[in-house]
Amino acid sequence: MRIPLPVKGQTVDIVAGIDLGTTNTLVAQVVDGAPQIIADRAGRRITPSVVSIDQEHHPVVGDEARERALLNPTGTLWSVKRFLGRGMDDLAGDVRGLPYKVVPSKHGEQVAFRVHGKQYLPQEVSAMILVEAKKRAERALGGRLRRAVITVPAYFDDSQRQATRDAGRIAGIDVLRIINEPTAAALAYGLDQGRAATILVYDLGGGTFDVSVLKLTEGVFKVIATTGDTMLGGDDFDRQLVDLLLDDLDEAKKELLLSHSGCSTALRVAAETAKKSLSQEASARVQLRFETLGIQLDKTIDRESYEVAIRPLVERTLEAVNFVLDDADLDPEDVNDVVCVGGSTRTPLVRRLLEEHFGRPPHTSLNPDEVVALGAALQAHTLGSATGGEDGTVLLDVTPLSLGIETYGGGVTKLLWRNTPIPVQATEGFTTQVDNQTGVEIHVLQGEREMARDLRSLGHFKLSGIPPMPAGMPRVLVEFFIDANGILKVKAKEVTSAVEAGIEVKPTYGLTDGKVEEMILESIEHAEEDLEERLLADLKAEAGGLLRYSKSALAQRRANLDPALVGQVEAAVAGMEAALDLADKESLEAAMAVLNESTHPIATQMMNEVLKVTVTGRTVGDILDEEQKRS
Amino acid sequence: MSTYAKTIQGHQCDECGAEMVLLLFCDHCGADYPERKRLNAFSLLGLEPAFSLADETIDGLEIELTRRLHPDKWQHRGERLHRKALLAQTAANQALQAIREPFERGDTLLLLQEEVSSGQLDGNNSLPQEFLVEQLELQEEIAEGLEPDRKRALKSLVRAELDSLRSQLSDQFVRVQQVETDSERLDALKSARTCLDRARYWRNLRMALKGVAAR
Ligand SMILES: Nc1ncnc2c1ncn2[C@@H]1O[C@H](COP(=O)(O)OP(=O)(O)OP(=O)(O)O)[C@@H](O)[C@H]1O
Repeated sequence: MRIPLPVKGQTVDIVAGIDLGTTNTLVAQVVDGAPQIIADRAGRRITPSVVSIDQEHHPVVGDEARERALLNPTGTLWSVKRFLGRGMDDLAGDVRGLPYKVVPSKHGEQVAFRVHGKQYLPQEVSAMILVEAKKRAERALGGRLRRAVITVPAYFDDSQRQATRDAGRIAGIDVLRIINEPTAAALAYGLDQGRAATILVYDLGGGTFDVSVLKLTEGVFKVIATTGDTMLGGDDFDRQLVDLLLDDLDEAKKELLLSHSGCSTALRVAAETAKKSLSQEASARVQLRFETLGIQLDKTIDRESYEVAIRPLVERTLEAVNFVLDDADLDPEDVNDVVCVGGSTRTPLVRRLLEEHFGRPPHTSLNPDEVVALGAALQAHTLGSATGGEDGTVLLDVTPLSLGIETYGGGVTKLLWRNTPIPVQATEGFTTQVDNQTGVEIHVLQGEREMARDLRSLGHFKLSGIPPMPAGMPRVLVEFFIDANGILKVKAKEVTSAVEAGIEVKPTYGLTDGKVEEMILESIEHAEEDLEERLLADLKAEAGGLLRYSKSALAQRRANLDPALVGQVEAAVAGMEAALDLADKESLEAAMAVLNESTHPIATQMMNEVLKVTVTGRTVGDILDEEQKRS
Repeated sequence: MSTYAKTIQGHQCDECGAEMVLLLFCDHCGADYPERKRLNAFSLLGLEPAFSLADETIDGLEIELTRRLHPDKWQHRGERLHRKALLAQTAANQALQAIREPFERGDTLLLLQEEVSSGQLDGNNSLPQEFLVEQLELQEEIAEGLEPDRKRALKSLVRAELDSLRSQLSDQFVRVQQVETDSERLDALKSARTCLDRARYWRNLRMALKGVAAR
């Protein structure tokens, strides 16, 4: 791999593709015509989409944040993507059982997280993840990442796309385009090089399942149908495995284990590890000793019984596949390429059933965790190049849901139907209900149902200043405009009086432009300073956070720790303090590495205290280590 | 050469004299096509208004126009042309949408016949009671959930009804072209209107059967 070397006084301009995922975030860029994942200095290709915010409101992102979850459960946020552009009503089930607090925000109907007495919006938290990804890329390549393409699931609606875009802006990134994850995956496989094809993208991740059908014709990609299940993924496979593991225990013991949060976490971790080895091996042995509860488990699970257990889940995904084909008026034979995305498509049963269904093996040569970021990098490269997209593949997107306006009596008039290619515009005339009405409130809705109350509210717009006229006289023209990113703008105008002013945009689940501007200023105040200075300032802040965390971890756990370890951590803490005094890049980085290393066993030990786990001969410590190395 | 380029070949931009390859705007200087405001969905796409139109023709136009107009292609041509292209693609998409689906296309065609019909085609009042009751019952049945066999049966019923309405509609539009008098023409248009009104109900059923509100 050739990485452009930083030249003193001249910064490299990185134009990246970013896969901002529910579980993990990846950044890629094109080098010598081929897309590559950008790894950080430690060789990590993946940033876990986890943010841990400490008492001083200092955020830590990624692996370090994940480790802090045990010590800072209420301040460690994950699965933030599920909350982007959403309101409390949308989330009912999702919020249960989360250790962190999800609350109604001060901005419209959207939700926020409440961490140590302060509110954080999902856009802000996502921006923190993006900033971390950006910093990693900048440090690794010694350049500046200012422009990027960010991916979203094809079913993401206007508020979710808008929220993603805002997260990018808050992170100081010029978002060249928001593109659909399935489209990115197809680009990564170079399927745009052919002349014509029908492509099915099957994306089975940790918590969600999406399937989309794309059509390629002479360099134009179009998503023609998409569906999915936001509550189906590898986590469900883990649950099936947990059930298998507990098979021999009586109900009382099962209950006991599952109600103990430490034990159930351990079970889940063990199940996931066993699941992954079952993707390679014919069987996996899991040994668990829950000393505090006096329960022992030693079980070998073979691939067959595992497959019997997960088969109904995989078949559910195939039903969705059939649904999406039906929606596109296609039969399985019409599909030329099947593309696998998401970690759970490594499951052999998934690949086998897909092959049976389509009569051809799916594409699996690229890493299913990376293909989306790789495709995004290709598109970023096209859009960021000197000739722009003049000769690149064109992505023709469609609106995933119909859009309309609430009418008198709670009905709805649809202005744009789902699957309409964008950009697009639609206009419709309305009038007043009572004499001398000088303002109309326009309620924009989204969805397929017939009644306003069953649809999702996108926003309210107020048109005021209409001259007094008898009811039915004014002609209010409402214009919807969806741009190439799938983001909606609405304008209203009274024709007879030409009143157009006084339109107030209040997005139901998003931020006003002004608010986004404010947040940008807050977060990139120092953006224009010298790059090196900024990186150093970041590094210092990060080092300070790590120091505080280590001290508090040590204070809380000292009694339970091996004295040798205590000594090591104390030495590392002292080293960190010294490095902070010196405040040069090399010493800070070195001290951070040492301190990170020395506190790592604390987290592991906390786990091990609740239980002793062995999965085919590995302890929890090994598992956590492997996880770290893998990512 | 594609259909699209053929129909407008030879038109010169009034402002800069360059050959205009798009009926929307001059991709050289950005001037609007002078007649643009008066174009309907068909003529904007360089098509004769007609009910019979192959899917491939429409798909081909969509691809060609997207390749030319997509905003990404115009990023580096300056703010003005970028914006012009965006608006042009928006207009093209809107026109495509108005003629893509046969029943939508029928509606679009009827609107073009305003002169003959002058407001006499406002539909929906002519459908018989039994038809509406039957539709309501089917809607309720679907809403309550269907056994797979029944679902398949209903799907093929809906498909058959829509196929039949589509061919009736096609016949009526052929008649509109062939008949001599205005009253005969109005008669054909009214029959077309009825087909479209019925089709609307069947299309709703088709959506309901697909369970479109999945998410
Ligand atoms: N070798 C493997 N065999 C089976 N499952 C695996 C394997 N490797 C990873 N997984 C599973 O893949 C899932 C994570 O996939 P991925 O990283 O694509 O999720 P994501 O895209 O972040 O999640 P989501 O789809 O919910 O947004 C986890 O459930 C993980 O256990």
